[in-house]
Amino acid sequence: MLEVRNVSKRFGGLVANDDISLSVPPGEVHAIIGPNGAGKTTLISQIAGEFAPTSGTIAIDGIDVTRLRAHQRAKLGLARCFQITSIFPSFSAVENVAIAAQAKRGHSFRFWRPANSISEFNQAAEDALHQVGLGDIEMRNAGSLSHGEHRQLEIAMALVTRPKLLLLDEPTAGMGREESRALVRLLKDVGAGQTIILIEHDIDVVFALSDQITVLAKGRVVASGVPEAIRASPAIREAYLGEDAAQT
Amino acid sequence: MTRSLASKTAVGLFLLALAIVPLIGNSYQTRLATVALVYGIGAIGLNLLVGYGGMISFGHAAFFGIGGYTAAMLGLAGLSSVVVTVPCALFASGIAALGIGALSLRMTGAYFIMITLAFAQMLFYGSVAITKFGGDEGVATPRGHLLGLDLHNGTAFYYLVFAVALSTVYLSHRIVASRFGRVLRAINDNEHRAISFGYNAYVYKLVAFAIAGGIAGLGGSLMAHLNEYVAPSLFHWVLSGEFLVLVILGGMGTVLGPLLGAILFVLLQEILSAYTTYWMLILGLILLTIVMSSSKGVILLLKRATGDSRA
Repeated sequence: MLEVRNVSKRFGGLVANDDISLSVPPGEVHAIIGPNGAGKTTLISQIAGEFAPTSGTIAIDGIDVTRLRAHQRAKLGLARCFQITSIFPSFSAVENVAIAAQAKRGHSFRFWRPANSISEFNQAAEDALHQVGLGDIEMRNAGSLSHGEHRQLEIAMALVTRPKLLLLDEPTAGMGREESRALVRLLKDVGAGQTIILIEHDIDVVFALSDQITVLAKGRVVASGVPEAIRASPAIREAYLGEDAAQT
Repeated sequence: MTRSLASKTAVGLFLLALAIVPLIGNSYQTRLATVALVYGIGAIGLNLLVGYGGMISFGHAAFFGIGGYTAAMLGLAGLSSVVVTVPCALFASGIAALGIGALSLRMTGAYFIMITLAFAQMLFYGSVAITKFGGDEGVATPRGHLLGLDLHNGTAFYYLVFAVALSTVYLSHRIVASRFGRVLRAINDNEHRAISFGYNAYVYKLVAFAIAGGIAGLGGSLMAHLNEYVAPSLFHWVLSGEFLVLVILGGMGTVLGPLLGAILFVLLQEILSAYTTYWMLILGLILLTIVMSSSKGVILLLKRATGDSRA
């Protein structure tokens, strides 16, 4: 589903990503972990198409997207949940999701029929909101929702597009333990069969959700494998997991 | 959209009042109301940009002027039927807006404001230089007729403008609520996010810019017919600024706001300038009060007064 080959990114003299390769088959939840500054966000931004790699190629579902812009990749079936909550605060919850559904139905250069009268989008949006547990607040103004609800809303906005590839950038950031656990349950529930790239600091969340883990450090891949192998690897424990593993 | 009965009544009364202006007012007052509505039509276009699209254009007069000059050129060529001149003006301004927007929208923030201003001023100096149309003195053009109806009659002209204004309000209402309008509002709310869904924000904004330009051209052509005269002042940055004032005064991001703003502006000008030549100072204070108390202008203040919960 996703093929990243020898991708490097330099910002001037700074090397953010150095020769990164990873391969994600359909249905896999692939976590990317590593300390701050390891190049995780740079990598996910390149996958999303926010900026092009300095070298290397990225393919989604067999299509080379290296030179495609973010909105073109979105059309190919890539959805992203941002690290910092990114919603439409002045829209209602249901309209936030409906506009995501609308994006999947061709262009929106349609000027006459009221958008909120189109039942296809409303139905899809309501279904997605129910799926993430926000069914009862669909008419609330999105700007007035809590942090946890924003996260749920974002996941609904991503799911409604039926993405081939879902990028989750630190979904539990800023959440309490209870909210975080609820989100893991939700992701397990809705994520079945969904290809996901997950960036996450909370190691418990990573081990609970992922099928494969890639560890980055200083812009390079230092290890890649199934969670058990990563957990067992002494080099990884020392380099990165050590502290976090000790905390849990 | 659901509205409270009180605000529905308020809208109804507002439109009714506009509908009977020529019946209760003298010819001077009718003309004043016509002027207000013509500016209001131009402001409806700008409101799509500023109020819904988050694009602060400081060059809206460019398209008002192109509309006016298009009508005048056709008039000088012997075509004075508004059935011809008004659609031509709309089309010409829309095309011009497509071109100017294509370049301007590559900029954001203050740069966007400056470049739209620069384009309008370029057209202003251009129109001063064209001696065929009177240079800086402007040129006279016919009042025009509508399917045989002579528009020299002030009442007839008023109802023409009133009908166009109502249609434009309705059009903008449909556009704002449509799928296109939803995307435009979404881009205004969170452009980054809208792009991540696959919406090409630049193209959506450009189309909105062209529609706004077309609507301004519509207003400009009616202004040319009303005054039987066009001059470079139609392009001037002061007029661009006044359009922004109308939108802010009435309530940006509200469908009826621009018309209300234009009527208030003309009324204030008329009433205050009878007392003092410094009426602009008072207008400025009123504007300041409105902006500081609500971003949605007088409309929101009215909604509060009528107890509309959505306000």
